[in-house]
Amino acid sequence: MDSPKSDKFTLSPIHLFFLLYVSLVGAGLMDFQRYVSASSGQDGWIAVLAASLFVVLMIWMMYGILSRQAPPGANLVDVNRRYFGKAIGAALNVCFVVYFLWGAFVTLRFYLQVIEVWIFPEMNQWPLVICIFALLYYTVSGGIQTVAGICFWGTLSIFLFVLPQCLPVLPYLHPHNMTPVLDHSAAELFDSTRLMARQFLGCLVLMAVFPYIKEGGRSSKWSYGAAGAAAFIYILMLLLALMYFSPQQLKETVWPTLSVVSIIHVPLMQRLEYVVLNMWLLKMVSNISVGLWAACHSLKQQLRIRPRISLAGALIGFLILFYLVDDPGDTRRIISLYMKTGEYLVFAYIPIVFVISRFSGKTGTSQVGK
Amino acid sequence: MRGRRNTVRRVAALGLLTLAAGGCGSSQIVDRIALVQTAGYDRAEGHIVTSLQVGEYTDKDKTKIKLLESDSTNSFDMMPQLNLETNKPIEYGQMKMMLFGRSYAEHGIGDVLKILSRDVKVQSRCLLAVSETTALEAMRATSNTDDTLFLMNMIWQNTKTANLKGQNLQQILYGYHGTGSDIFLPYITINKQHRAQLGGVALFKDDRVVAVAREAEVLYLKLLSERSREGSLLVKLRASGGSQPYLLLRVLSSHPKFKLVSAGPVPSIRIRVAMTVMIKSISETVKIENEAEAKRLERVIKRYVETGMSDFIAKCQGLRVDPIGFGDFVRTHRRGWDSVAFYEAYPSMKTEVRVSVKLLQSGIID
Repeated sequence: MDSPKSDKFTLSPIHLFFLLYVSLVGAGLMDFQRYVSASSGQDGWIAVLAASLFVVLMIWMMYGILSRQAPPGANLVDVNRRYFGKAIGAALNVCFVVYFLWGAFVTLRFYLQVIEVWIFPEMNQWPLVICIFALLYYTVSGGIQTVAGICFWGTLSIFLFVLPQCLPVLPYLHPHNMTPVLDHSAAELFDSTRLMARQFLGCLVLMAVFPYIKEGGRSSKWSYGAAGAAAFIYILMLLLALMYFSPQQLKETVWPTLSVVSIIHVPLMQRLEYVVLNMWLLKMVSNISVGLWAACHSLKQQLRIRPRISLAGALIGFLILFYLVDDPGDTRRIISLYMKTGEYLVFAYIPIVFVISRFSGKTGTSQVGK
Repeated sequence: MRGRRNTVRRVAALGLLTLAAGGCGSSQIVDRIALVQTAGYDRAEGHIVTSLQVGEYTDKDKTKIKLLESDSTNSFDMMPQLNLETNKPIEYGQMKMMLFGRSYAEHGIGDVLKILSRDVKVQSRCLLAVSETTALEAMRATSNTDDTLFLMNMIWQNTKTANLKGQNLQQILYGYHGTGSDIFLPYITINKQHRAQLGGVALFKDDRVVAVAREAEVLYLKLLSERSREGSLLVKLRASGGSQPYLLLRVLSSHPKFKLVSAGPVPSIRIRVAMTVMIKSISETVKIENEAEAKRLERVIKRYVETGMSDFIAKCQGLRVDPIGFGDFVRTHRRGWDSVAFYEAYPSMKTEVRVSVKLLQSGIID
């Protein structure tokens, strides 16, 4: 149907960095510190490091899988159909579509919840929701290049606006909190690693965007770069939180990242976390649009539904869900369900397919998509 | 086909901009709200008195201080109660100072700390203090200053340039939630001229005031708990003959270093404080004419500070409070730290203070 060959639809490999970075660093950056340090305390950074290495392994496996496909079939949908047969493959693909959509919705719901609690408790959320939806429609309907473009800004917004904010926090840090190192058992560290790895579920997006990358096979350095950048930002935020809060205090802080930022004040702007949250909109929109794009695109490949129709459908579905999932308890439940499902759907799926692809032929001729 | 798609996108972009422009709706203008800057809690027989200092910005370049107070049965409904008596809505997003009357603080400030830490409107930089009189009186004592943040500025500048170790809300919550130290807050007294002044530091056990550190102890607390570059100390020298000779020192830099000698059941800690000081003023009878006399004076200052610090630590141990954070120190230097066991042994903990003093000569020879 479409061949991702023409220049208009392809991306240069560096864009993969932004796409993947945005998918790896999601809304969880606001509160992961609490979960990760719950069982392993000051040793949490080891867990983040271990989880990052695990994701690097996952990315390596995905490249392994993709490199064994004939170029037009090197994507999530065709891989599933090739290895699992038409019926099971189709079912799996629908699962992944739902999963991408679910991830996007979870991010949206979480972000709006933070806005509601932190900035505008008395605001009617619908105007903001409509506004974000218009932005999402605009981005995703623009195709992969527009999505990559907003991912670029999403990445930059973090590095430009969040990183410099670490400096004014320095006087409030207690570096001694980091010692003694390795004061926790392997089981505790494993628990934290597992919780941390759940932040990286977005890595599967690589399988969906891969055909659109020029010289896909040689793009791996950008993917590893994205994993490295994500690991860096997570470790940095974790270290900040560990040194800024006392251990018990961190357990009681809902959004540690925002609380850390709230200590900063600059002339004319007394509450910097408000600015950060607004900058975060860009980050969230890019994260959500990657998920939406992956879902709509996979749906097009599997069921031949036109992306703009599926996109509109998805957004309407979001509106309804948004109305149904309203209180913080529900949001927490759908997030935790999303993450638990993801462990199987992503972290078990990738190795299994990797092994299967290892033992079947070098390049399968894709029987579909033509 | 393409044209229609572009039109849709253009309309979407336009709609987006319109909505974004409409978003700037929730602005609040300073003379239409009651902007709270300082708040206070007091305890009177059986009820809680809450009070607020509100700036009135009706005239240009002028601030009128308005003091509000209200009785309540509890600590939780301060803002709604006080809102009943204002003509403008109360906004406390700019609250930067919270004051507790001593009798209130003796019954525990835990509830208020909980309220403050839960409310994202409250700034992390808000300062807290305990007042010897009621909080209301302390605020009243500052009402002729035209500064609704007088107390906050007083504490802030003393932290920056003098002996106090001031802490903002975040730092206090750090200590309050932490298991290895106790909190302390600036202690505000009213002097004979009916002005509010800094009278020391209120030491807390959990969330209750148990004692007040005064005068030099305030400086010792600061020097023992952080690196600092400011502070002044009045040293009483041994009288030789007539009047009592005094020596006023300015601390130019000071750096405490803790060493865990043994963690044991009863811990033992060695504390070294390296100080550089300068003589600001000195009684006429004391002479520093040569190196030997300067060295002798260094030794005198060293002994004076060592005794002062040891006495202060012993006082804290006696009260079973740990404002210096010995617990946190041991926690981060030994595996498997147990807060309960540590504070069980705390009163008998051995400490050894060693101060090294470097005397920087001022311009003239005394």
